[in-house]
Amino acid sequence: MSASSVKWIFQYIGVGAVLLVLQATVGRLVAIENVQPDFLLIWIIFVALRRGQLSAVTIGSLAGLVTDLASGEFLGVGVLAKATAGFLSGFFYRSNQIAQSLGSPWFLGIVFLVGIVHNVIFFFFYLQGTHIGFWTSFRVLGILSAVYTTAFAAIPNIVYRRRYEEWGELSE
Amino acid sequence: MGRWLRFIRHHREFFAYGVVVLVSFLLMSLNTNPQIQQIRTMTAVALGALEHIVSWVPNPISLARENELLRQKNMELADEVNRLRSAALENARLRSLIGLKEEAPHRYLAARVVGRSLDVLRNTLTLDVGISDGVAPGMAVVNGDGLVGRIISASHNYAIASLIPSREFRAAVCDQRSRIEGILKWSGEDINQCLMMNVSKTLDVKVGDVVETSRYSALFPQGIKVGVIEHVENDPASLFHRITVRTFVDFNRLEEVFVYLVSPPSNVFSGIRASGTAIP
Repeated sequence: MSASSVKWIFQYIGVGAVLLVLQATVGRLVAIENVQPDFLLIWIIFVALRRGQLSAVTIGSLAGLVTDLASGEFLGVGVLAKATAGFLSGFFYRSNQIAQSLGSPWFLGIVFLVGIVHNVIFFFFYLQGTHIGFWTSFRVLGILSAVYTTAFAAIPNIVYRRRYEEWGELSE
Repeated sequence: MGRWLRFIRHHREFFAYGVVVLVSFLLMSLNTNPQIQQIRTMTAVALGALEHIVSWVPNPISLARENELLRQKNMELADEVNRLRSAALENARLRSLIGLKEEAPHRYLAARVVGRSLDVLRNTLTLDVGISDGVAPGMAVVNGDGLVGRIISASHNYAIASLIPSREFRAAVCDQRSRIEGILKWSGEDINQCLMMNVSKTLDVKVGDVVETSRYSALFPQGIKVGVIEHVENDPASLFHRITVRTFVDFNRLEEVFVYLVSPPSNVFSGIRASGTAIP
């Protein structure tokens, strides 16, 4: 593994840690009826479009494990949901169109789609063995959460759109 | 061998994802394992400390609203205290007449909420009290408005509480007016809305009745207010009412809570943790 690879791995984990703190602080402030935007999910999709599938699966499983541990209950479901989100969004990775992907409106579509899939997996496994109906819960909380996360994904989207317009494509 | 290695290398993304899926299923199946619970408790210490550091960030909107609510509540409570004082005197006089024993006062420990779960659907709180303060898994958590939830794990200085709106929460409750018993669980939609289950259609429940914890509850002390009945629906396909309860506690705004310092019988709480379906 090259020194630059190690550098970006630590950078990405560092940014993930900062986003985790933001999720625990700012996430609470902007919550609507207890539904927060999922900053970590945006980060995983960003990593997938910036670095590819393998990096996104790695970052996704780490982020999922941390959120599982932070909640103190039902370990594993966050790992599965977030790793799957990274895996799926990795299919949209284009090594020669990174800034273009991150700055295009498609980015928001990817966040919404992956957010829905993430929530389907999370709700399905999390509600197993309970009396709470999957659809009852998902139609309100699952969809609202995906929409709200997509709205916040507009921030990196706008940044990368401007960056692409001014500086052109990023190197891998 | 070399061909296999090349194949794996060529499809490494799929293999990595496959490994993560297997690990996640393994973790899900080991959730009640004591070692896993030990790891969760240790993590609660580390994350509790981290969340404590960042919990100073204020929420001005919530603070303004809380101030307004507290002023209003202060007025209501002052009025209620006056009425309760005279009722307590009358109660003591009547108890002495019929020879009833005094009930022991409940012991509560104040705790600050230093963190909340990071996912939608998971509703847990990290509290800044732990085993060193006498907190143990299974203890009830309340605030001035009513029942909040129960402690699910505790470390030396921090504890994690599961709220009423969570997947495994059940509580034996009753209608304060008619004393009809039922089981309370989260509806899975609105965070401040629950369902009161197993109440036969022949029994007397009305919209507006207050719901409180039952005397049959092994986990919670009797008489803690939970909420008010919002809807009573008659499903023709069921023998039971579909009763919707609006909780008194607003779970979107929890800053301080109290832990009821009495542990439930250990077999009751371990049974709930193991199966996730036992009724407390």
